Amino acid sequence: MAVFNIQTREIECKIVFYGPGRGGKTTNLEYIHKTFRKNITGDLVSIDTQGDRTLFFDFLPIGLGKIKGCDVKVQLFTVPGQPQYASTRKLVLKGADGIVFVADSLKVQRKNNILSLQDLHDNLKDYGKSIFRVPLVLQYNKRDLIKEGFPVLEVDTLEKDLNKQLKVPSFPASAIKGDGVGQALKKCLELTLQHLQKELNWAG
Amino acid sequence: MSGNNLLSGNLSFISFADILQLLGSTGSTGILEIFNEEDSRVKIFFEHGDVVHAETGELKGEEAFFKTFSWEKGHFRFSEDFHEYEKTMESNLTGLILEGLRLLDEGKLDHGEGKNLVGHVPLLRGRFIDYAEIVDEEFFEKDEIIVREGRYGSWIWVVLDGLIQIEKKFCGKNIPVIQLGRGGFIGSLAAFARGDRPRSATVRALSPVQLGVLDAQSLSKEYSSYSDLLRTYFICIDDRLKKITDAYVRIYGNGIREVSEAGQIENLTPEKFRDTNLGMVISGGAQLYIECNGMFLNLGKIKQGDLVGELPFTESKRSYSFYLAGDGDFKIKVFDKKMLLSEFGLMSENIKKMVEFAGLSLSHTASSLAVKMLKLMQ
Repeated sequence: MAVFNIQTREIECKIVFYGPGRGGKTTNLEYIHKTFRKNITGDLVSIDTQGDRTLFFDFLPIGLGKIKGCDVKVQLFTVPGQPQYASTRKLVLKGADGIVFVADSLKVQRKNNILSLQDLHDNLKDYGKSIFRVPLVLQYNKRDLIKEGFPVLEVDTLEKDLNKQLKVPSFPASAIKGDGVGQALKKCLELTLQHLQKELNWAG
Repeated sequence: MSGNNLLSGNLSFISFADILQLLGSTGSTGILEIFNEEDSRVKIFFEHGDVVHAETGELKGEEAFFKTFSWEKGHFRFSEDFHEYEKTMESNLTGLILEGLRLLDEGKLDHGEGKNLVGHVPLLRGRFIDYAEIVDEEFFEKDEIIVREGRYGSWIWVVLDGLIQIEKKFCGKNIPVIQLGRGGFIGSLAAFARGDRPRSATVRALSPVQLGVLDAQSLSKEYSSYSDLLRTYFICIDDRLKKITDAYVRIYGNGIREVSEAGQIENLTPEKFRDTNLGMVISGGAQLYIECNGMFLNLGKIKQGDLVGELPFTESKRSYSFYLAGDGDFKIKVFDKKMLLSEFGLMSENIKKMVEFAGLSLSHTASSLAVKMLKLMQ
């Protein structure tokens, strides 16, 4: 649910980085905040939630066009993965216009990836949304760990586990090095704006 | 109550966080007032969509603001009635909201905190427990009895959802002592030391309740790996909580008769050492008292082997203090708290949460007791 700010003629929408705890959501956002300086208007706000931090900042998707003559402003959020942060997760996820699901490529995290995606599905359902319709991309993070000899899931396995039914764009990535971070965000922004366009045309 | 009322409604329909977001995104200027069921009121000042000040009673700024997140029921009103204020807040609104929700999720926003009135049962929440440690789930309907006082059992549960009430019998009546929400524990670690013992209180579901059963075997195994000192600490904290709860129920039933003044008690000394120290009773015994505003209430006997002093995890802003009245042989050996604290680092997360929660219950029940004493003296 994007918000129209009548005073500034802006459409504000929200993209949420979702995924299992310690999977690299925060690293993604930190990389984006560091790298895409010209797109960033405000500070990176960090809330110290146990396990991983909750971050958010405003992002201007330059070059992706306007909607009905309005500028688009995007807020990027991470969600704390730990089960206890139910109210925080609810607030962040409510009104999410697009989602980047950050999966952890580590073998030991296989089950947690699936549980977290299931959790996303359930949460969206609670707000009357379908995971099959919300703009969503998958990011398979921590690919760099292969070189360091860690047991890492094959991309095929991750696809089978997570993307068999969804069939959404997916990106191998290494948030710590920045590989695949920009691509996943850009794709998610495109899908989100397209989705908004479609919804607005329908309404207008 | 004057002012231009622009927007009002009920918190059960639109949450505090949602109203804040709405007023923030519309760039509003004015005062948001939130009233809860106990007629407490928080005023939040908005200027062009930013929160610049909040106040309730004596609290100001973020403290007043965050407190409001624990209010689930009540109503709100937004008006343009804007008067002079001191600027006490300037953080980003979304950041403030997320911080408030974090505090709520971590169980750090308690209702009351010793300010509860007579007849009002304090509510306590704990930190959330990791699902991985839960071996089974159980569901109870509203008003169902989960544990009955006097029956046997040593299961330990954690509240996953809903509200429960701890009640204790006095003269045939069940007296409510405390209510527990998410993260609250039923049962205590001391159960492993003492074996089968009757339950010390009744636990009732106040709403539909989901409980997690903790793995008693692994907890018990961990418990038995601890040093004698740490195990003594667990038992003492449990014992003291029982003493305070019993006194609370007694004063509830008997009233002022239970209370004495300092002059009436012999050998009375504050139970206090240097902050870094604790004591262990090595001979004799003492009567333990709780003191509030110069009045004393007997809590029962401290025996040889018990720990005295400010037990870790029971510290809080206190409206009360503890006193000891020792008998002729009463002797204490003082030792450094560090001996105990060093072992806390080795405890598993769940045991740590249980200990923290026991400490929190202890200080909350003690401050309810102190409030009760104050009310009786008025």
